Amino acid sequence: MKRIVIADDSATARMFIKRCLEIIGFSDATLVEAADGKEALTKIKEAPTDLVITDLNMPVMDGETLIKWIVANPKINQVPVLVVTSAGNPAKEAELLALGAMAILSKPVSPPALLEKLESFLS
Amino acid sequence: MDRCDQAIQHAVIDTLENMAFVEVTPMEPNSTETVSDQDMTVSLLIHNPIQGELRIKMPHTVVAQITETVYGMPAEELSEQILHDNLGEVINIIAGRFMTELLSEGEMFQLGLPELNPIDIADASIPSRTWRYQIDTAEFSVTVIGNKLLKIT
Repeated sequence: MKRIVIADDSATARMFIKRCLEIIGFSDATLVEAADGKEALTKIKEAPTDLVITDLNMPVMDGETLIKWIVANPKINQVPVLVVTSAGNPAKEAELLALGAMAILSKPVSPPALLEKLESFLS
Repeated sequence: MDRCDQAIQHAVIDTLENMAFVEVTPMEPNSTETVSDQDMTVSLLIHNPIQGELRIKMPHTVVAQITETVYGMPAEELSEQILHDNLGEVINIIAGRFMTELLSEGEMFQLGLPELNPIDIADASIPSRTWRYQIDTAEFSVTVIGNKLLKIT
């Protein structure tokens, strides 16, 4: 069973991602919610995590900082990070990929778009 | 239709149609605004590369209708907190799409966090522009505040 941490300060956005994950075949996964990057980091360290889906613009700790913390920690730096954002553009995407993100998706997320980004992860 | 006009129309219509599967119809620019004490207001600051603000004023019933679709739950089971959160997410996505289309391709931008029930704009000297829309028969408005935002051509 996969464990996925979803970080977004909006409960609506977290719920939207959870529904999309269920639709594309993750209904038996453990979906762990976090309202900011710091909470997400704590949840990632709590138990082996297979995937992190994070927003960028969050209070306390933003998504970019979360990625930096994950990449810097040898115990968790193998966990793939998918960024879901409303503030994406080609330059930002390149910056996030260079930072260590696996992929970037624009909001609102749709099940087909999420499935496309997670295909390699699924296999 | 100028660039700001086009960017806001695309952002509002695409976001609500893709997120909540509702048909959004733009209203005539000179139509009279209907104000209700049941309106919910949310604002979001744009920090970089230009400063400004986006505001949405939407009837409670429309927010409930959109949230019902997004959450897949009957409206009576949705708390006020969920409605506020959903409206915050709506403005966040609209602002992102608006700025992506408004700026030159690849230019990065930074948005603030949504603020619910912001204080009214007291300073009439700050340029603003309002667009009005309909979902079914209910009206809502989107306002862009800030000279630099409105002057991008």
